[in-house]
Amino acid sequence: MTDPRDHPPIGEDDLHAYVDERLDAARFALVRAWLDRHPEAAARVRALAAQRDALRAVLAPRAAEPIPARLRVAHVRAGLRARRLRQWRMAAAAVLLLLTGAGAGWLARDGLTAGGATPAAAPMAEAAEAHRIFAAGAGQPSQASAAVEGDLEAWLTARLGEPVVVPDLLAAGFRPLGAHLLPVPQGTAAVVTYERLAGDTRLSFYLRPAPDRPAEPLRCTDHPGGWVTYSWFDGRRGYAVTAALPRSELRGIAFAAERAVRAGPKPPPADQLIARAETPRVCIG
Amino acid sequence: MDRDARIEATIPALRRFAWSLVRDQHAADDLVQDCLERALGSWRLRRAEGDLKAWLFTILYNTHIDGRRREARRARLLGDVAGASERATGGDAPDHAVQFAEVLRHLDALPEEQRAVLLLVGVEGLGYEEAARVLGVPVGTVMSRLSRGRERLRRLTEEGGEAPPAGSRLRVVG
Repeated sequence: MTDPRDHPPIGEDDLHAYVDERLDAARFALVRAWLDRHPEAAARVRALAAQRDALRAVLAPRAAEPIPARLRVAHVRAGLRARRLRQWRMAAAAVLLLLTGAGAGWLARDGLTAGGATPAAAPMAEAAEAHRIFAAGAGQPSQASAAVEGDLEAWLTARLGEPVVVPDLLAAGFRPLGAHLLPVPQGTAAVVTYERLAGDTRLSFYLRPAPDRPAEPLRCTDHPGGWVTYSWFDGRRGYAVTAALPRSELRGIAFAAERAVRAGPKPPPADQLIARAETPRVCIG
Repeated sequence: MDRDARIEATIPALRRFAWSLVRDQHAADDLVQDCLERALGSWRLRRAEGDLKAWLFTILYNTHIDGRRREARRARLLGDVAGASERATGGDAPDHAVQFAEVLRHLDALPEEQRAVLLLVGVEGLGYEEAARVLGVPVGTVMSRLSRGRERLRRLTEEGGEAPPAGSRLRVVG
């Protein structure tokens, strides 16, 4: 019946360790002998082992996929380094501004707000600031709206002098409200605000020049206040999609926007394209 | 192997664990990205050399728990009851895919703390002490969660195999 030898009795933990192959040889032999005498427990142990094998089989493909570029250690490290550098620059700039005295107070305020919005000084941190000013106040009239017959793309392309894609996010339930231009250190940035068809949730699509920054896939940043930004770079510009939405929801929208940007603007008729490229534009007014 | 290579060697397992927790590849990769950033940013906080894998799993799991708390806070803040993410379903998929979906569905039925132990020990091959460190609980707690989780999964599997829902039975017509 019970084992009379000098061993601790077989316990539940022994059975799991048997399944997980974590017993030393002596204990393993002991447990196996015990299982031979207890067919019901042996059947249960077999079921547990089969269960473990099933889990491994189901999940094995997840570990077999190639690692996406954004998870390469070198890429993650480069992102961290750039962020630290920006943090350092921001701190240095803040100190400088404080030293220049009260006259530069408003500048210091702007600088510190931009730094304070994201403690980790995330990439495209200014996107959240642009969102705060232009998009977050639902119900407020969208100032400097350029929604002329919905052709924001043409308006922005003309204003920035380069083709711009305004992603069509209708499938996600967002329609564009208007676009604004913003001065940024890298040149002119644009923010396109969207509004949810049902409800007053706003979303902003932000882009600015980033010619010196290599292409980077999408990454996410959480901001205080519940905003989430997905940002990416394509070697020419930096882009960001920001909204007070759960990551899981905004992620799909951001990926759709990234695909739309990558696909480029809908091509105009070929003759028009040539005309636009070769004819100098006359500035009126 | 140098440091980066050793970290990268763990990434496939991290992605698998992250996917098991959140069930969405992009969300899982967000989680792994956050984990890697934290790991690289606090490399000096790492303990002994051999602990790398368990250490990375610890950061990933904490990031996951932290993220869920944050999502919950945001949901409260916005009064927004976000629908649960879609789960894989069998549909017209081949038999083994149906079985796979069923295994995952059963896994979903477990409380997350039991699920995490089953994944860390059974799939990722961590020892009981390592799993305890990852989850921040005593080894005894790991053992009891493992025991309860496995037992519950076993019962679900047995019930699932023997008692199909009444509505799904075929009816002879004509």
